Amino acid sequence: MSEKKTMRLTLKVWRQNGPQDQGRFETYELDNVNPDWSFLEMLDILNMKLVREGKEPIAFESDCREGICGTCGFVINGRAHGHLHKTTVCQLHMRHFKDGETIVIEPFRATAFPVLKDLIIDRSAMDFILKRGGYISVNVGSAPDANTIPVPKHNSDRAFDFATCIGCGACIAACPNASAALFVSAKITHLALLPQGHPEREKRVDEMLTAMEEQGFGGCSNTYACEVECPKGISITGIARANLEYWRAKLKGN
Amino acid sequence: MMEKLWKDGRTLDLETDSRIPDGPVEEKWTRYKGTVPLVSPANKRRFTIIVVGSGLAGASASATLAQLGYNVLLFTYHDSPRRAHSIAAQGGINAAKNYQNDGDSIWRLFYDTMKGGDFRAREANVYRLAEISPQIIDYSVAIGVPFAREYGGLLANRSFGGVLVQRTFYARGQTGQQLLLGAISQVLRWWNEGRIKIFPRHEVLDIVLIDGHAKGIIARDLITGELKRFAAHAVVLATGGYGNAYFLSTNAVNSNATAIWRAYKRGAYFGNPCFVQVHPTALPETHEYQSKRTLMSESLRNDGRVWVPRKKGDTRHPNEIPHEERWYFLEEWYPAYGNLVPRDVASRAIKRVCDMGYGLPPTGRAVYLDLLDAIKEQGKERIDAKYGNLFEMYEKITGESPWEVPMKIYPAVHYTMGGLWVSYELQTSIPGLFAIGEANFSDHGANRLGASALMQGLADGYYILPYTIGSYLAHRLGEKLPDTESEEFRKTEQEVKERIERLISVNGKTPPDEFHMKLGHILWDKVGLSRSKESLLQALEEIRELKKEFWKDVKVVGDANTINQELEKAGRVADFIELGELITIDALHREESCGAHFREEYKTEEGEPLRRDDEFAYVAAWQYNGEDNPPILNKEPLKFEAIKPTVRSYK
Amino acid sequence: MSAKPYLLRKIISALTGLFLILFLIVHLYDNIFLFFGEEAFNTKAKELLSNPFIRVVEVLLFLSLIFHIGYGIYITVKNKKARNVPYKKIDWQTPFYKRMMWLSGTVIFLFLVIHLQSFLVPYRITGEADNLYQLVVLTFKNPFYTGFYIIAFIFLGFHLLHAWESAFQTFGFNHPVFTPIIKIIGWVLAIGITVGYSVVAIVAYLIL
Repeated sequence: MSEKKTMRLTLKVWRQNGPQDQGRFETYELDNVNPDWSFLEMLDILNMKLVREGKEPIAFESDCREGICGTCGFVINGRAHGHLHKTTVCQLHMRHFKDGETIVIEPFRATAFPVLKDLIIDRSAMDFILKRGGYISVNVGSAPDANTIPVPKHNSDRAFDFATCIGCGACIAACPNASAALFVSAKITHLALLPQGHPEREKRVDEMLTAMEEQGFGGCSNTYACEVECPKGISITGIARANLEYWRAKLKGN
Repeated sequence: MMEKLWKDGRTLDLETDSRIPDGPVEEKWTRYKGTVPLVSPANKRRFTIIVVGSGLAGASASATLAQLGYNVLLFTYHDSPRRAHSIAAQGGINAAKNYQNDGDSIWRLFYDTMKGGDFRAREANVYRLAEISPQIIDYSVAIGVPFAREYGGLLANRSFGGVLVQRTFYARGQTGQQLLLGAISQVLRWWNEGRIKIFPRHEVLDIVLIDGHAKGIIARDLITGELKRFAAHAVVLATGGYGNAYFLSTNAVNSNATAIWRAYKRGAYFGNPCFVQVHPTALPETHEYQSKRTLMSESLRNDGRVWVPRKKGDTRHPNEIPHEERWYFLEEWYPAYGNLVPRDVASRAIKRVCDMGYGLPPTGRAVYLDLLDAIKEQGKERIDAKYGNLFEMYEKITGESPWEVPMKIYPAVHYTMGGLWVSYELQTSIPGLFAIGEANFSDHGANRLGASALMQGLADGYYILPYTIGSYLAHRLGEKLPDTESEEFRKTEQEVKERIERLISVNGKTPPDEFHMKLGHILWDKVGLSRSKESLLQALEEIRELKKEFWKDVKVVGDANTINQELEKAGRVADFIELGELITIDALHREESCGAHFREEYKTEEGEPLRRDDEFAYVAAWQYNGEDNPPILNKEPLKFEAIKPTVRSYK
Repeated sequence: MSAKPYLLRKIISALTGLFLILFLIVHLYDNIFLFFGEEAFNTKAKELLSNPFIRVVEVLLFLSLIFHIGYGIYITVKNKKARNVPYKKIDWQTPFYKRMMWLSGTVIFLFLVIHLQSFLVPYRITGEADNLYQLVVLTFKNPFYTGFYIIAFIFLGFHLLHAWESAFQTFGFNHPVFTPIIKIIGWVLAIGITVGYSVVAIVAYLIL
């Protein structure tokens, strides 16, 4: 690693004390930013500085810090998880920003995602959708030998491509309608592509899409903004697939 | 000084304490299942079980207990149970399926795991784990886990460290994610059915004991800061490992030991705390404020070759160094297993070459993990299918592409084999308190093999605990749910409250993170990959000093009645400091080298670990003995009936 | 009101929309008769009026329009509600016209009101105008009218560009081979309709 120049940044961060608070931007200056820091490490350091000054640190969430748990996520300069393609905030490194840059940080915004504090939002609405059908109802103890269910490699690989969703909410944040279509369809498609998922497919798609509505998410208007921001690169072809599942279920009289 | 560090306790009885069933090792679990008292479906509905943690073990246990009919209360500090750190497991899950017809069997998996753990695990547990392993794959496939498949539509396998067969099932580099989401899908299913109640953003801060039995918990609502009491007939801890005591580890930044440490302080024994696995292939540390070490899956060692330049301080670009000037030290030292030696062996070897001065500049603490040969031989497409996402992750973090330049790696703390001591029934020494998954000590001995953590977490949760918890509950039919207004609950809550107030009232100057970093440095440098009496004694002194410093100078901003991440951190760090002390004491007392525990004083002439079976073939089950007293060392002897411990060689 | 999957709203939009696209194509075909002179155009108009099939379709057309607009508003309102606090700074990763269907729809609606007022009302309802050809040519002689007409069709073009592709996605059709073809058809359609109608208007303004 060669010697790298450090950076000076201006951060405009959304601060909000609680769900009822109005919220406002606050501006922080941060010097000596190392390009090898991750974005969250940069915030850690800012927070340590704030704590030393006796100020309340910026509340934000993260956990695995390797882009798989889906805990982190906010909007950086108008882009969910920042401008880097297929990257969560925790994997975004400061080398992708310029010295002297002003960075605006805002929470994911959707009616279904109330802000709890600063950049922390409540995403439980996503689990309320999943619980309505994002599973295969098979009991422990009653599974046949794994190799008695052959699955074409192509289908299995595609199922994985949708199962890889980390449930971070970026698709919803990036959608002009705050629609959860990509998130919901990822689960529907994952299970629709596997023979194991077939016995419950009609009920699943109907229930999950209804739940998405009940949770206050918008409808999909096929702008495909979600696909661009998805850190796992989940394709909107899954939305079409889920739609097909839905019409199929309707035609079968469900 | 040594005598005062701990107090000798008793020798645990294998029948009454460890509850290991009779018979040959192959028959123990079958016999147990056939004779364990059962709870009728009607009675199960009258029992409530608290599960803490929603990783593989916690999620699978919750789902299965709910399936059986129990009422389950599931607690997690995350905003959603989906986010537990099992999700980050990359490489795979072992199972003795022998789908590849390469000589695998339950016995071989059992033996490999025992040997991998350097013969410091309980035979009966390990055999059971191997025996259950195939069922985990069956069930996971049935609930839609998209494992890798061959063109014929059947499951694919790959190899992992420390074994000579291909028994690892995988879903690209995201096996943990897929298995966890599978287990969570079942949690969601039973949540929808009303059998599980989920309490996200709740951190468990203490265990409530009534008449010596675990009967509930005190949890802090991380949104409102409110302390809440929850009662149950049994409590299951599935809170994962304590690797974050080292600050920099491959764990999630919030992974913590608070629940198991509170359980320890309430009387649960802590087993083998010094067995901490250092994973060989993590990204090197690049700056002082790094918040974690990112793992690069062990599966990369299937095709990757580990090397350093033969010339010390060689500053040439790696691709310009010809093969004969590269030192493939793993292949040279361990010709049989080569790059696929177990983790502890690989980690120590890497440290050794770096200590010898061959480490890569600028830090001297990195070696190459090179897949360029494999890319040339197998083609980009095949390598991409196997490791594509890992390469992507590497490039994101380092800014260098493994397609063009060899990766740089250095060992990092990864997994803790130690944990709460549990019986064969996964019950801790507190009746009614169970520990599963990484939170317990049981199956991996002194070193865990790759792709075995997922196996153990799911075996505990899906197949073992649901049986064994019945043997505790069957004797408690008709017992009412404890009253949360009882004296015990009030008192425990009061203690938790006072502790929180104490943390806030210190009002010093230093953020909890900085104490955490300091603790991490002490542990990594002196209680890390290799330890000596001298380094350990020094560590102990420094940790004790740090503890004093912490309670004098920690700064927790804000109050306890809202989201307060600094308060959360402070509580966890305080526990890590105490746990760090126990890790050090355990490492000091174990005067041998085994698995991940390498004592400088005990090595062979070739520098390999020297085990001392005559004196240390036991599990150290540490017992809390009050704030100012040294802990009590209880010993569970390890009886080897089925296999004979040998010198663990991978040459 | 109990929640229903958004697809049930969306499909009404899509089906009525496709029907309206069909109408646009037929209407453009009829418009071309303008080039064949006064008699041909007026005869064609009379012919259409006396065709009972066309009269039935006309009812369907108005129903489609009402549903398309009604559901358009409903969908827009619902979607806006899904984000009660707007972003202070946002960099949408989708072309403006995909996000602005409500805007293009509104412009088209305004155009439609004027269009019906100019032609349908005098010719069909009040009966003030008997010679449709004269009415059309005269109306297009007004540069503001023609100007707005063209602008409206540019909006319509963008509306169609998204609508065509989106409808197939809503039906659940997204195919690695056919979807790119559908996209090309969408472009042809959007440009064709916009240019086709505009040419007729410009010819009417300049030449006829």
